[in-house]
Amino acid sequence: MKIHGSKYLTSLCSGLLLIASGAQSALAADVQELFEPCSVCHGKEGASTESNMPIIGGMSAPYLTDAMLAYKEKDWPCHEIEIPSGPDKGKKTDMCTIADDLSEKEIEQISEYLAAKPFVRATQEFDAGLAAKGEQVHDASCKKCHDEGGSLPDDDSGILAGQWMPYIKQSFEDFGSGDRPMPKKMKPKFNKLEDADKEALIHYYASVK
Amino acid sequence: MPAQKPAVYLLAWLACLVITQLAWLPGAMAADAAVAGEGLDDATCLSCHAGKEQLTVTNEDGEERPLLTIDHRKYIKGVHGDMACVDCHVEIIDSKVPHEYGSAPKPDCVQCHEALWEIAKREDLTEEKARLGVVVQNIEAYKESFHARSAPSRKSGVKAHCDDCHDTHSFDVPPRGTSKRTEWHLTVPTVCSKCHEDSLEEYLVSVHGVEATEKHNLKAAVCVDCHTTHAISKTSRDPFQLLITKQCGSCHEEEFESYRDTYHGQINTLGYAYTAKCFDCHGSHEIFAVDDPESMVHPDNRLETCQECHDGRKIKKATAGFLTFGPHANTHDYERYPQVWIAAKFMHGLLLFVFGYFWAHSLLWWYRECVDRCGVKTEQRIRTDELVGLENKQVRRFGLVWRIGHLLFALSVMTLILTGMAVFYSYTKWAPVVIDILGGPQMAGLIHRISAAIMLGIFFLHLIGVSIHIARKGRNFRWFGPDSLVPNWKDFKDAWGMFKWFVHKGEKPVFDRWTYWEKFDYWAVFWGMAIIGGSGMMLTFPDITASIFPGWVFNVVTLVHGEEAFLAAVFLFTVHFFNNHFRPDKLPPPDVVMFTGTQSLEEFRRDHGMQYDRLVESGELEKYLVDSPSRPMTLGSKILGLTLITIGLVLLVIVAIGFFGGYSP
Repeated sequence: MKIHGSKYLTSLCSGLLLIASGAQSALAADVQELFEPCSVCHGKEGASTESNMPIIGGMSAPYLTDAMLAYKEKDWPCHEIEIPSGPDKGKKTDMCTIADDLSEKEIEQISEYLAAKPFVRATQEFDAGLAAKGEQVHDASCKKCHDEGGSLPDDDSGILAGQWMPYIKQSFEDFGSGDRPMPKKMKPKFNKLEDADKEALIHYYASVK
Repeated sequence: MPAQKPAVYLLAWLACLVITQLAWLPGAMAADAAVAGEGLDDATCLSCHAGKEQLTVTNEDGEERPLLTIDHRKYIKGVHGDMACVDCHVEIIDSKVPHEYGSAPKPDCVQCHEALWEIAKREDLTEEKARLGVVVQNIEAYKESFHARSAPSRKSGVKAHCDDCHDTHSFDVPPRGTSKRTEWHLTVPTVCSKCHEDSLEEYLVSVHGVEATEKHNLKAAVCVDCHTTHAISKTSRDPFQLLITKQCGSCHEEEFESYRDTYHGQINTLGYAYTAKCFDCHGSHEIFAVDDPESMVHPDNRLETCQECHDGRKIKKATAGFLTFGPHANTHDYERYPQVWIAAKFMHGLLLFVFGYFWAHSLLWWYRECVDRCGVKTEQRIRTDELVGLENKQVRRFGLVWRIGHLLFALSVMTLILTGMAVFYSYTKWAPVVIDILGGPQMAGLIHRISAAIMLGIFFLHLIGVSIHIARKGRNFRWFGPDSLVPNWKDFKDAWGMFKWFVHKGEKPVFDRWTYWEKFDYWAVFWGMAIIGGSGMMLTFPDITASIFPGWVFNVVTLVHGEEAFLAAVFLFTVHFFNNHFRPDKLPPPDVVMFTGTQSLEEFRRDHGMQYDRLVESGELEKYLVDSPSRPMTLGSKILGLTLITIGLVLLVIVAIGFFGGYSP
């Protein structure tokens, strides 16, 4: 039986399309599967609800990749944390160990995945007076690289606006101690900040609309 | 953003496109451009906008602001001077106060220029309107730049738009290469400092800033010389960090070249930003002359600068000995770098001598053997080994330990050459590919050191083995005898005799167990181990080296290591390969004696006639006779041999590419 040419072509094309879309959704499912263990701490789509775990959904891919590679190289401090829920609840781990288990390709995939998600700001209480002061400190020292109150992912400087206050506090401590390296331009500006300035900044970032 | 806005924008953009296509015929930069409305000539616009009177307008929020004015004299001198106001301001359709805007969008440098360039391309006027092409290139670079990223609170919606740096009305940036350009060049810091005040402060006190602003040195570097004009990217990210060395190097050419000779520069050339770049040592805006106490590279401050990276955390802490290292040493300045000059001259002399002698030796040998063998079909009709009942027997030349040692040497030296030459020739196209495949420079470095340890290990094991062997023989070991690898008078006589034979002036010498070139191959390894191994050890343990030796030793040792490695690599894959596999007598390759350990009687007699005669006379030949290798062993040895030869030749080619390639910009 001779197969009609156009019918053969149609079935071949639709077959290929099916395979392509299958592969596409398989890849998408892959990344979701890859991110599944991360969401235990960082929340669904990176919208963390734990105040010591940063909200990472919506940050830029280059920033997230750099962060993970820094953890891989142990350039950033590997603070030990307790897994808050899920099958490994109570177990201790740290970002350096986690990053080490991921390949560079997987890190890039996760970063692209998270960059496409919205940044869900944390609902937190803040002191309005401190926040006002923080805005002044921010405009004077931080605005150049953390534009619009630190809310623009495209600045590749993380996202400060709406980030968990305890996480920002920990990061400030790490910067101050030298455990976490700062970009060259940030160092002199950050080192000039008083403790009161840093406290004000933390409240400001929680207040940014 | 409300849902309607994108649609409105799209319509407006389409309208603009249509209008601009209609309005701008070829050569439409003439003064008699079409006027969009009645009474809308330049004079009408200037009646308010020339700034003769201080006028104010009320904006949408009810606030008063001064009316935008332009300097018409500057305008007509600028590149847009031939255009009428409404050629760009197509949204202005009346001369009312205030204007009732038309539906066309406000002027957008990007859209206009891209459209103009499309027209120029269509009309084949790209050469005449080459500057339009430059603008479009700049626009493309700008779009990728950090300045084009969003900043919702700014009027333009981006970090910096064209008119933040260029006053569009009086735009008159002179083209590159003109004398006016160099004058304009010095005005750049004022423009950038509109936003980047901190950087200006630092720049003004730096050596570049003083040269530019106080001494009016037209060649002094300004912001755009390092950051580029339009492709401005985030300075903490790798692409810029790699670019900056080229930018600095575009003025400081000698320092750029000498930097690229160091390990820092080689890794940078390979495309990795983690080694020291210009600004890591010299600073970025706050650059001072080396003898200025403020300079990061002033001798008083230098150790602290080195310790920024050499801090003891991931790499060994820099010690005082590091300070006399010459990060910009070169081989041609005897006054400043005498030790490097001497080392370079010595190594180049050594290379010339070794290759001169051995390549001449190989070429002449090839010629002479060709004369004997080429074009003459030799067919062995009488199987002499069968006659004496010695078929299936061969002469044992190398025992198992030698063969394993040689194989490990071959594999480790090839690995060393691959990993080392990728850094030595970092500027080639193949080097970054190899380093990338190996997993980066640090991994390649680890592989390099492991292979070196293997080589050194075998070498020392051999020394121990040989010492035991000689000790066992005691007084019976003849240092200059036929079984010893120590050169003797016969070797020198043979070397001379071979040259005479090459030129038909004598008989071919008859060799004993070790020919002079085999002895050279053996002792060359000792030389190589000492020079390459020694220098390599010094480079592997820099803090120990720095605690014993002055810093210039690093410069010398790096030079010697690379040059000697080059010598070894090229010698092995030319001379050694020729001697053992590619001379006419040995064709076709491979000669498998170093894998099977044995040679046929015929070949043995031809190659080592003196030993053959000696053994036959003393009746000891039988001691050296072993079963011929099996077919699988022979086949396996041939495959192994060919594989190693192929790898060697590939390595030779990539080294040649590096040698003949030279620096690429």
